[in-house]
Amino acid sequence: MPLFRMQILILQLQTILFQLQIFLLQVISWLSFSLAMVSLAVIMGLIIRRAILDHGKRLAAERQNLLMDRMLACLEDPGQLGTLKEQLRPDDQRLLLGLFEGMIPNLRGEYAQRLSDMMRTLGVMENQIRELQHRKWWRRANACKILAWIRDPRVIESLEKTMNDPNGDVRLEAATALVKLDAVRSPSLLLAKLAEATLTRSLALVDLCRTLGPSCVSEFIAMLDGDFPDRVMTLAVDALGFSGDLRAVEPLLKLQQHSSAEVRFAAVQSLGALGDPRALAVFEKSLHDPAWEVRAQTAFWLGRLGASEMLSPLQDRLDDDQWWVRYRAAEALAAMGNAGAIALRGFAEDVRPRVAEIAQGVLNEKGLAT
Amino acid sequence: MFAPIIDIIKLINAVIFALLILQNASYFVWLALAYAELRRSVRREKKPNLWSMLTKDFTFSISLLVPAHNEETTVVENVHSLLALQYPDFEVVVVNDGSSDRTLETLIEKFDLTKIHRACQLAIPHRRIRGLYGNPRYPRLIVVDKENGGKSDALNAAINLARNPIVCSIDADSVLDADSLIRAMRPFVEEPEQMIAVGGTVRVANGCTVKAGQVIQIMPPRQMLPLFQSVEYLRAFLIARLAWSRLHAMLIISGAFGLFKRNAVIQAGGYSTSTVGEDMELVVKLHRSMREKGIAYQMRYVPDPICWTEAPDTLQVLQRQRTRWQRGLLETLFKHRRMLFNPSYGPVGLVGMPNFLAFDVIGPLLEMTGYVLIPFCGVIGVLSYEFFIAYFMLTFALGICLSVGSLFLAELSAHHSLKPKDLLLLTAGAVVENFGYRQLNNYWRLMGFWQFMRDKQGWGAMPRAGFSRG
Repeated sequence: MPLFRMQILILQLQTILFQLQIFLLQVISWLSFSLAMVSLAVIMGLIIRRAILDHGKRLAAERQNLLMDRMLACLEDPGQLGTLKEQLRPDDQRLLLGLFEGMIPNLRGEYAQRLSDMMRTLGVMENQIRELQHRKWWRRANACKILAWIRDPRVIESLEKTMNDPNGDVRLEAATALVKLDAVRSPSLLLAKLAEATLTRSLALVDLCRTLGPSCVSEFIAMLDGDFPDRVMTLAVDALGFSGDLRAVEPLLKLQQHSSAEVRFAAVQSLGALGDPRALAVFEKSLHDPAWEVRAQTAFWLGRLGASEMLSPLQDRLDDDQWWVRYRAAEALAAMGNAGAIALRGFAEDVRPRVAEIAQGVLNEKGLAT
Repeated sequence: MFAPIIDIIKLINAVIFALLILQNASYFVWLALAYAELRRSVRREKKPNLWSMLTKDFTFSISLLVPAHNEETTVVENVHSLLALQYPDFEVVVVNDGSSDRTLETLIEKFDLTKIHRACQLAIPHRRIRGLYGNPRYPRLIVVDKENGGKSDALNAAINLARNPIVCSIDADSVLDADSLIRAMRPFVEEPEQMIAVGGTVRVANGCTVKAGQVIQIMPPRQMLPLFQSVEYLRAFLIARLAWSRLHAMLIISGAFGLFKRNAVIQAGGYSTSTVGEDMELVVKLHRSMREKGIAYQMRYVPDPICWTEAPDTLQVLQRQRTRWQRGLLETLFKHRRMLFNPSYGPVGLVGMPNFLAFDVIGPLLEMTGYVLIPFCGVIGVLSYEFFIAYFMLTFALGICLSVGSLFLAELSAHHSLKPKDLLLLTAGAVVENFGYRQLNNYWRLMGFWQFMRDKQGWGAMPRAGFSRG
């Protein structure tokens, strides 16, 4: 009897499992079908949206053309600004902003000032200062970019506050705007606000520091003695090189002993860019730097500087283990006129294959082979 | 007597069904990941500072590597198009890989080239270079004439000759958007130390109007086969690559348009000449090399830099391409099998490679088996009607859903927005491709598998009709 019951139980269980299986299969079928239908409905919605957007774009383009004509008229005659302001619709702000972004980089002097004043009068500046509080970071970053063109104490104040923004990209954009407005109080403070790993690696920060360089040479020089991370130090060194200020030479010379190859590399590059002859003695040592990148960079700058007294140290580098060092040394020799070319021709016959190969290769490349 | 056979058949069906569920579930996860990555990418695009900075002089210089084999009809126009790209500093290294037609002579005549010399680092082995050509009027152009050694060999020669830190492989028959290099360079600018490779999107140019080496009017193809491929490319790039990029497990950067750090490629040993899937193999090799050396690195897919390519419009040529791709995939997986399921290789070994194995190698085999076995079982009464319907719904309805999903992403990316009627045409393509084209593709994959097993080599001819010129 218990066996019979057990069999019935198993049968019932099998039936339930079978029904469950059928149910699951039906769910899968309907779910798949529904998803396909929903996706088709969504794409149809997108197609309709696209059609509406295209139509909206055409209308906006027409309105923007009209606004542009009026803005140009106001640039010529600022007296018409009042009329323009009265004619503005609430949704014109976005179009005005687009026009401003397009026009301002192409204007100089008085016209640029008039356009900035116009944006202030038409409320664009206020809008953008408010936009700095927007919850989307890219909107805040874009506001910084626009405000960089409007020289106003309120703009500078707002941008300085934005340097505390939680998003690094927004801070970077605010810093760029402050640099553009020539309103940076302390570059080291500015860099401290930007000193997070992802930002300091970005070439955007290199660009910012180079722009800042000429006006902040003393501050950057002071940073070289400070306790900054290597990456921040590199930024300061790079900026000094592109400042064109010879006060930077002495502090940069001291960096030849720095523990970071990245800093030593930047120092060689900056000294080369400054083109001061005091750098040559240091360059001679840098040709033996443990990092091949520093050696190659040094050889490159010696070639650019045409330092003929460095012929002999450069010749030694023709037998460097790294191809790029050999190549840059040979290239530098080729750039040093007749003496360099004669030396290279001699090395083209050298018994050391890699020396002969690089010397001959560069002679051929530069058209100096006999 | 038949009971054990029926049980085995049922088991096979269950495995096929389970894999199909798993595959579709994975695809939906990818779709969600791709959506998140696309949104992130669109935000990155909004970074205003970067755009202006990219046009300045101190960004990385690029060497464009263009292998050309028997391309005499298109090579000149394509080189002109490359020379006209918007980027501060780049060089174009065209490698004539032992063409049997007049590719080299045409280049020499049209660009008035003469023999030049360039010191060259022999970092990666390649076949002998017969000569280098240049013209001071085109200082960015260098033409390399070498003995035939295949695409990988040509690329290796170009890498050795390249003088810039970033190299970009480009197919000689593809067209780049004018601003594609600037857009593709963004990840290198954001992460100059760790970024070693960036892939862009490849889209089908059939149907578009090309004028002066630029795509000036974007239209989906009017022919069925290229239309299906359009949808397929959107799905591959906007779902799969975006998702894999997000997971740090991207295994393919298309050979038609990919940027690499030259040093990293050299350290990995350059392109492999023993595989027909050299683009995938290089990316896998880069992952492997970086992981084994313990170097922190990144690779990223950027959806907006667009490279336009001509898709095959005949079944014969498409079949050759697809079987070759499948062989390339299998060769790469086999060569780097040590990475499979190996946690030392991170997401690439644990997710990326197993995914390719499951869905691109085993998947087509099971799907094709399912097409035959499941209806058969339905007819003989082994399987329930519900199973049969569920299988086909999973295959076709979800197939449509995913294809349409890629169109949704394409519309969101909006770098090249399509007209409503073109989007409608692509939607139709996304539906119809599931009935016939998809099965054909699976069949070609099986052919590729068979050729791999038989150790077949070579590319096969890939004749092109040429872009429709404006």
